[in-house]
Amino acid sequence: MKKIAIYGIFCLFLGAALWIGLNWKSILSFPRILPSFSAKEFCTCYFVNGQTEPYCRELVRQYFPLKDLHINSELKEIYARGFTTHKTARFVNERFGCQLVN
Amino acid sequence: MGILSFFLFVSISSNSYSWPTKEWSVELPTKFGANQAQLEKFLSYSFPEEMKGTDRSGVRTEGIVVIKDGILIFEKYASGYAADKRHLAWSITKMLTNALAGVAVRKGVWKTSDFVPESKALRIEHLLQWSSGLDWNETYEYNPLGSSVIAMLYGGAHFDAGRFVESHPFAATPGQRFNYSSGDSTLMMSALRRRMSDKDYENFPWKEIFEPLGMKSAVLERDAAGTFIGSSYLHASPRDLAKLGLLFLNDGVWGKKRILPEGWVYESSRIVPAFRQSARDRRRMSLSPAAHLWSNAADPSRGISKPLPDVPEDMIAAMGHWGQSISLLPTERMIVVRVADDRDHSFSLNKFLKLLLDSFGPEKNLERIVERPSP
Repeated sequence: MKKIAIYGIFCLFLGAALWIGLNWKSILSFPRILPSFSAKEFCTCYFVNGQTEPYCRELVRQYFPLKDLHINSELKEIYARGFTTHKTARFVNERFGCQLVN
Repeated sequence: MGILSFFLFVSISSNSYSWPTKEWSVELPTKFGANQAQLEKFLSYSFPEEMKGTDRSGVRTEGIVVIKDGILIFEKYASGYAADKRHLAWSITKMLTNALAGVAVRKGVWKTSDFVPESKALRIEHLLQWSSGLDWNETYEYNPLGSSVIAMLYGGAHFDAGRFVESHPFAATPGQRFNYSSGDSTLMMSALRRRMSDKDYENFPWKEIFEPLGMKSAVLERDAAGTFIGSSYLHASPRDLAKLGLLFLNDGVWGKKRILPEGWVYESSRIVPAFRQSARDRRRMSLSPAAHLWSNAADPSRGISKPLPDVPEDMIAAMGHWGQSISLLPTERMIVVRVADDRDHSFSLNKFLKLLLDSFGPEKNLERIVERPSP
């Protein structure tokens, strides 16, 4: 019985390691997705589509919470921090809307 | 069915109405034979009370614009939106990208049979038909790991999205496999950029589409390298999105000016040759893919049944994430724009359009201000 349990745990561990190996590239880029998405889409929502701050916060809300989202109205920039990464989106102009800058 | 008779020319013949470049002429739906009680049912389905909750479930319509015979007959907004306010469009943008590709054909910038730069197998037409064969994974926020489109927009590839798409290996021979891909749209915008100067490219959407159509609210976002994303990132008011719809409903002619090549809209509306309708497609009533558009047509020779059972077969559409749509109903001469923030699968486009069409009753009741073109 004990042997089966150890074997099962080993298989699970091997499976997880294999999955991580296969998805390594995606896993590495995952932490920047949340702040990038939040900064860019908040920027467009707020500066391009003229929506309110509460509406735009709700629009970008995902199942992982952001650590910080800051509006710089003077520079027309949105700064978002999530996991270990921070990202900035900037309003470019009336034609081209917003863009991620880092 | 001939190409010319497939799409009806909307010609606004009454003196009191004008072509909507400057603004839409507005009339009450009842003038077009709409039944008020039926229209209420359409409204309560589209704007249910529970959308005011915070759990983001259910039907969450934020704006509707209905055009009939070139006249705006209905509009309603929610969540702070209004007639003059832009809304995100997500993949509705692909309809614009189709139009830009069509203009490029009309102006001799390229032919759809041309190869994509630096490729000996991939043609523009494969990109238009989402059949590039590139190994692309189109999943969104609920499955972000391994999603090519999320990596392109938010995962670090936004510095040069075109280059990112090109870096994908082929999983199939171009033209042989349908795979809905935002990468194909972005690669098309990247290929277009290589056919003209940077200045011409950055003015192209405005000079060729937004200004002629009077889409003053249009914003089109780019990657950091200056390439239009093309697969999404168009932002415009629903009224202006309806103008894009009218261009397609009117066979690519705006007023008296031909913008898209003759036959372009008809060809673009045909179901993609490499598409095979799956059981899941049938269950979920997903429209069938056409060239950067979606079709409600059946094709018995390929076992493709009509996706939306209560909507006319000649309906074509542009569809975007979170419930955005532009539905074109050629027989009814109607354009229905819906902008929304749907976060689950509660909304049914079939039910939405059925309730709207039921409001109008039989065709004979309509006051005709539009003429059919002579064959």
